[in-house]
Parts: sequence; C-alpha cells; structure tokens
Amino acid sequence: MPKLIEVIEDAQGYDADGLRQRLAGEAPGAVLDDHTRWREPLVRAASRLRGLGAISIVLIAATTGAMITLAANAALAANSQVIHVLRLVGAKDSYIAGAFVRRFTLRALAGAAIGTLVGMVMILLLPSADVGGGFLTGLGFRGWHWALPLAIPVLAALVAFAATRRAALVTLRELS
Amino acid sequence: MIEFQEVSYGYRGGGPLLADISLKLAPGSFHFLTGPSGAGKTTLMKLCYGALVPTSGQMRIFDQDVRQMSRDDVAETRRRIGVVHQDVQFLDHLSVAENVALPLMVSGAKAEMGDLGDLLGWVGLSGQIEARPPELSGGERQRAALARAVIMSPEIILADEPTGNVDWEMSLRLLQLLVELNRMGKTVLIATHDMNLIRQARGQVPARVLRISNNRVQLAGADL
Repeated sequence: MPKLIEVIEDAQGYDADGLRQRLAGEAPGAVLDDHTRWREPLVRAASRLRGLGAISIVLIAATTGAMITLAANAALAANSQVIHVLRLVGAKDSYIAGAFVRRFTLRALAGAAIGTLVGMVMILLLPSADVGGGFLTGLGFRGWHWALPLAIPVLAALVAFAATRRAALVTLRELS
Repeated sequence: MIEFQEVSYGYRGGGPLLADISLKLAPGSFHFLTGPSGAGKTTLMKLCYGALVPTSGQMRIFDQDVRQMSRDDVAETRRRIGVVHQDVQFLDHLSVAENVALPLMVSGAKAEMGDLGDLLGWVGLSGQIEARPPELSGGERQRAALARAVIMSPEIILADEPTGNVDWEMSLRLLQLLVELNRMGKTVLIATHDMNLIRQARGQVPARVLRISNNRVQLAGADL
C-alpha cells in the first residue's frame, strides 16, 4: 500500500532538491510530488490568459480611439460653419480643436468612470475565494489591486484626448 | 501695411481672375474698390486677410510674406484686420453681443460689458444686445458686423459690399461709421459697386478709388 505524507511548508519554504536527495538515500522508491507537473500547464495557461487580457485592453483602446475619431469627425463636419466663422475672426486651430478635445475627453472620462464603477461592483459581488468548490472563486481584487481599475477612465480619457486632437487638427487643415 | 507686387490669382480650373496687381494700402488711407460683379473684388479682399494665397507674385501683410505665414500667423493677422463680410457670417445661436465679442473670446481677451455696450451703442444697436442675428434687419446685421470688425481695434478695416443689402439712408450711416474709423487712424478699404456711395464720400474723406477691370486694378482718377 502506498503511503501518502503531506508536507506543509512554513513561511520560509523548503529545499525540494535536498529533500529528494535525502529520500533517494533513505527511502528508495519514495517520490516527492510538489504538483509541479500538473501546475505548470495551468501557470502557462494563466500567463497566456494574462497576455490575451493585455491584448484585449490594447484592442479596446484602439477601437475606442477609432470610434472617437469618427465621432469627432462627424462633430467637426456638423460644425463646419461655426469653425469657418471662428477662423475668420482670428481663432487659431489650437483654440477650435481645444473645444472639441475638451468635450470628447470629458465624455470619455465620465463614460469610462461609470463603466468602471459598475464593473467593480460586479466583481465585488462575485463569490469570494473562501467559498469552496465554486469555479469563479477568488477572481476579485485584493488590497491595492482595487486601484488598478481606476486607471481605466484615465486611459480612456487619454485615448479620447489624443484621437480627438489628431482628428480635429487634420480636419481643420482641410476645412479652412 | 498691405502690399501687392505683381500679384495674380486664379481659382482652380480657371484662368487668372486677378493679374499683375501691384498696390499698397498705406496706414491711415481710405480706398474704395469698385468693379462689376464677378470682377474679383471679394477675391482681392480675401487676399488682403490671408484667406487666399496668390497664385504668383509677392504679397506682404504687416511686412510678412503671406507664403511664409503659418496658419497661426494668419489667425494673428486677422486679429489686426477687421473684416465686414459680404454675407456677414454670424453664429445664429449666439446673441448679437456674443457674436460681436467673438474676436475677443478667441484671442483670449476679456470682453468688458461696458465697452461692448458702448460699441453697440456707437453702431446704434443698444436695443438689440440680446437679440439673435436672424431677428435683425439687413442694416442692423451690417452694423453688428462692423462692430465685430472693430472690436479688436484693428489697424485695417476691410468692408466687402457693406451697403449691398441696405437702403440708402443706412448706406450713409455705415459710410459715416467707416469715415469715423478712418479719422481715428484706421486704414479702410471698401469694396462696392455703388458709385453714389463713392460720390457721397466726397468732401468727407480723402479717398482713392481702385477699379478692377480686365483682371487688373487701376487707380481711377485722382483723390476724390
């Protein structure tokens, strides 16, 4: 009958290689299984998931930028008469672009802040890690990790700022 | 202030509308620009405030070569040139006072309500400060346009057919305002095909008449 001995490591951990050597010398046939074999594929999968998450964020940012560019172009076209008059009375491109940039940046910031808030509430409502047996357990943030989602509105605002400013300056050069 | 040296301009796909124009608008001068419809009066005006760049020749505005001017330079120049446009160009969702104060707003200067009221009083629009442009008559719109043109205290006033849509009495009132500005030292250029208006200026101001004919600008006679 194989015997199973549970090794509980303390905070300092243990020397797995040293333990294996001692087992080989004192108890031939004994195997130290530290779960590395089945844990490694999971760690790899988790790393890939993390990478996919990062790519998703980049794609979302790019899509947001494209959408904001289209919206800014539409707003600029709809206000071409206003822009024409402002140019006639001496407005610089930076002044006109600033009005559009301000509006779109604030909207993106507000929208992303609301979305982030809702998302954080949903994560808060997920089952906690100490509820055993569930699949979606322990997915929430811990400690300072709760601050990470706060970067989303800032990122959205930065994307909106850059996309609107570029669209506005390009369009202004074409309009007048 | 504004100097043309053998300047030509033609719109894309057409021949030159203006050819070999050489003229100089000296500080404090008063000029009328005449010519038949389509002769190029508005085009010459647009060249004067940097809305168009000559096809050939050299043109300088406030000693700056227009070809070397950036978009920001053009904007800065327009703050020194007040323009009364033929089609007035107001923003209909803003009040008369806000429209008149637009040049101040875009240049970052603060509009003093007292000064704005005085200016609108000078053009006879004290009662229409809060009105929207569509509520104004043709003459009132032209006077509001003149108020907007001078609010930055520009060195040059360009008026493109300022009396085109108003009756004779209002034409005289507008002419009077432009003459007053010239007496304050402003350089004035008025594009018009109204010869009666030019005759009316006789005795009030030492104006010169420039006539566009056959794509060229000619000085029509001596001082009025």
